[in-house]
Amino acid sequence: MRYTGATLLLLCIVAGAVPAWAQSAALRGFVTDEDDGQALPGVNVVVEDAAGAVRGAASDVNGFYYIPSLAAGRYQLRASYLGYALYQDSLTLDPGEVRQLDIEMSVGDTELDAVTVESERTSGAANVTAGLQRIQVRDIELVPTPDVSGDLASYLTTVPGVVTTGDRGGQLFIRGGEPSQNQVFIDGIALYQPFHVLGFYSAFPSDILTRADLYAGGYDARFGGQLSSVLDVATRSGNKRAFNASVAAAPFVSAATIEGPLAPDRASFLGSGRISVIEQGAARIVDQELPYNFGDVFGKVHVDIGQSGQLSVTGLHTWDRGSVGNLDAPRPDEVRWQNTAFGGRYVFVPTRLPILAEVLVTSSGFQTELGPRDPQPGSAPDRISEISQFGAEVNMTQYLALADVHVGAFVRTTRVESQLGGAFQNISTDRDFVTEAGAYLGPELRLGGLRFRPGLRFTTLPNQNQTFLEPRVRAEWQIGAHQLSGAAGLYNQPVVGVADRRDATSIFTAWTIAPQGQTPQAFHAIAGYRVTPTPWLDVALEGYYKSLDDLSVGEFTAFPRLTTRLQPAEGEVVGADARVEVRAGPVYGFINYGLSSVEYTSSSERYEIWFGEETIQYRPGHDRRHQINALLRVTIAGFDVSTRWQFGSGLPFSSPLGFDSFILLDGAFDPYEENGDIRVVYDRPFNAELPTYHRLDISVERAFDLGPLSLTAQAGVINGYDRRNLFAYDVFTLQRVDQLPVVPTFGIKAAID
Amino acid sequence: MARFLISSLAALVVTLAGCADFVEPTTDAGRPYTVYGVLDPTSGSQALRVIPFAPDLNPQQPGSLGAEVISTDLQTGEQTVWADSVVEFGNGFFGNVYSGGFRPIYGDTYRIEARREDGAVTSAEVTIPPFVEPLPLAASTNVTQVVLSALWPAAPRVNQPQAVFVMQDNECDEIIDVVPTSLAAAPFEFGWTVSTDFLTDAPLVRERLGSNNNVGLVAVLLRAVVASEDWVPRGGVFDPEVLVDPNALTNITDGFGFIGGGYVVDVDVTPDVSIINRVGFRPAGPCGGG
Repeated sequence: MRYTGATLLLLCIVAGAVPAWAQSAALRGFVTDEDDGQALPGVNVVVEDAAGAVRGAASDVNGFYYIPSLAAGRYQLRASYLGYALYQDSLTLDPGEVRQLDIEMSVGDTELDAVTVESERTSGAANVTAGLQRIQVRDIELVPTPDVSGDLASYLTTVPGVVTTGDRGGQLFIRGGEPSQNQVFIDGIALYQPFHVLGFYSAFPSDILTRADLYAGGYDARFGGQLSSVLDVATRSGNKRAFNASVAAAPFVSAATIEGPLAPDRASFLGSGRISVIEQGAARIVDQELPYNFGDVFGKVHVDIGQSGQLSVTGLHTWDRGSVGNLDAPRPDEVRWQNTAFGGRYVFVPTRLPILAEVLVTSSGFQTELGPRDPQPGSAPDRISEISQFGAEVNMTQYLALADVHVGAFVRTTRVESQLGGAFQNISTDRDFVTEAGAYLGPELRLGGLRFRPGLRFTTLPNQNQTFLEPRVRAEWQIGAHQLSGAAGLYNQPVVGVADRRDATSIFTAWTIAPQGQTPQAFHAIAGYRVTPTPWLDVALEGYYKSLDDLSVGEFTAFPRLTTRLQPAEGEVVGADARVEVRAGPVYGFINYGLSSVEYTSSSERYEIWFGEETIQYRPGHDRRHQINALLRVTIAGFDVSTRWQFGSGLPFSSPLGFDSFILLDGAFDPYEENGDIRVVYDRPFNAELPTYHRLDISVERAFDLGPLSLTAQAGVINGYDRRNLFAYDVFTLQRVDQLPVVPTFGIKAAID
Repeated sequence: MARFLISSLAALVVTLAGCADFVEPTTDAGRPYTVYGVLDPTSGSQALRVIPFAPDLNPQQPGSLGAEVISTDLQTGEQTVWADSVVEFGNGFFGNVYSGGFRPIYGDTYRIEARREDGAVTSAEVTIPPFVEPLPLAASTNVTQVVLSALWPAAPRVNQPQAVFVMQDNECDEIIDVVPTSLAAAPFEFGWTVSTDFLTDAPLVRERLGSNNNVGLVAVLLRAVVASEDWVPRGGVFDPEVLVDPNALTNITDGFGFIGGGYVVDVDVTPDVSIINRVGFRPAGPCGGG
């Protein structure tokens, strides 16, 4: 009820602004690449009137821009974007006219002044605003990977606050949150585990991407349903003017991409497929068993409908299987998962109204299972978990003189089904579902250098009789070379993933509906400062805090089994990032430092017996206190040399005091007959720390232009100084599983225009 | 700039490349053994399971443990040196059982020490409960229950209360079934009471007999372990999920496990023939006949 006032205020702002646009002119349109007709997001479009007053807007992910509230008269228009020639035009607007002016940008080397370049750099390692980092393809391709093409997963591991379990497992912990608390979208379609079992790869090869927005916290009212972070990935629409194809081969994956017009200038398709060849390639190079098999297939069709509409249909399928634990174990387990996702998106611009509307219909499914690597014929896996979601949403942006008002409504139903083979003892193994419906309002106000985005998200769960009203706020204030930013908000997650994090190799996640009244909730707060003291240097500092309530964690027990009963817990995350980014001619580099503290608090009557207190605090297994990521890329004689070094302080683990046997001595006892159960005696949960992690990766890449054929060759080395980094330590057998040793890599990619 | 960045990166790499990459096990060497057993004054031979506290989970190999196990009666000063033996259990695993050839004295306290070759000692003090002769009580009957009870006067506590059904089939073969009592044992001013509801237990036993349930009921016994006073599970229930914690039930110093003092005693609480007939049993006759 206390939010009613704020809501009314927002509505007044919107309503009060309506007469202004009704009487004034406006300029709008889509910005595309002249070569392939694809949308160009982030293009600065400005108009300057005769008196020299400048108004402008940046194109969104659809390439759409809207400059409202222009007085009638003559204007000079300029559109600029890094790497493209400056677009200039002049136009005269009549009173009340809404002019649609679509802009085609051509690739070029127009010299832009430093200020212009700075304003157009919307991405970069230090370009973080209140937890939001915008990632573009050129950023991804800076990071050395064992492949010619980049992958978003490799880039994400350079971001401070992102903790991974290493080069296998595909688990990303973002600013203290669990992997299942990250919300990942591809073109608005939810994905549950888009990261492949080998940590370099995800469902997002750079070849198909336009950009990705990573909200490490404090995301706005449009997003909801997950506690920790949002990764919003947008893909390209495919070439509308010519056919392109490429194939690539490397010791880890082979890939192919094809795109082209279905109807010239109107419709296009983009298809991509990758398949791992690790067992045939990298495993032989390092002479080590690397039992990983994964792949992904992506397809998208994009159609322009007249001047004011776009329809796209996206589909994605991924699959993974691999053993991430001790392969010498008597019965090594294998985890398998697959994502299948489809979605349709219709974007349209009404003829007269200053609105961009989007209708999204999505379906996403995820299946995962855990079982022996070599199962008996006909036997079922030990554990199976499935989750599927069907949803629809409408999002609208209204463009006003001082604000863009974002509103939307959504409904989605999520179904879960699990068969957990005796583990996770107190999780329902039945089918279950939850429907979420709601709406949000999030105006983005512009007052000089201040951008202020308050928001409110309303969600109801009809079949759980629960309602959430979550205020959110994001703000940034640009003062010359300085930027202050902040974000805060409340978040909930009705569908939760439960995993046993006591063992790093236990990457199986069971999805379930949170019990009524125990829906996990979170509060985020972020404050940041960024400065660009010179055009070639960016420095950013950001602090954050998250509180996480109603989490489920594995209960500690002296039985040496991987999973057991679950316990409620609360989490608290505090951290800070420091980023320095340098761009000096052919040299690009950054160094990031992340400081983080994650603490869980869990209560159980048993803890009183075991630890002498009913409530215990501990560092969970992903609490990496210190992280450093450094990258240096130099272009020399046409060769791009990229070097990346990572450092992470040791992750906590539960080190046992030792092992014995447990015999339930409840009466008469024959020691000659009863062997008892093997027992592990712990001191305190996560009482010890694994060794530090650090690694150096280097790659050298050179492109050769051979007319219609372009070749890109790459060579490099992963883990250059052969650091023996630990992936997992089996405290039961004292066996360790290491991450990749030094691996020479090489790859080639051929593309035909 | 490039030179600065490269040299900075190289310095970091060189500095940190030397970081240790091994995991230090934190095995507690000050707790050499886990010991389980019961000192039974009704037996002339005692046995203790002695388990080395190991740094890993690998199965114990067969062989002498090398521990010296000595018990001392703190009242009389009499010492017994226990003998090691290797046992292969049904699941193929091996363990060490130490046996002591003596009969503990009711009411005496014994100190048991297991000394490792390096001198580290795991020890426990165990008090043998006094001799107890249980007294049967008259059955308490109502519409829904037939409560069979007995008193264990002066017992410090009783554990594992059970109802023992002694039956006989038509071929004169004795059939014995033991079920946990359906009512909890309870302390009273001078000892403990053990009770069970015959109307709850009897159908369970008949069900377990399957189709061969045309048997005669010879006797119903109440059985319990008269236990030392410290043989108390946390929460009052012997729940393995709780008691698996090494601190949940232990009287061991510098080690884990539990050594109890106790012995099993039965008392006959066979109900009347009318009650036996009420639950479908026949009273015992010659070879099960009535």
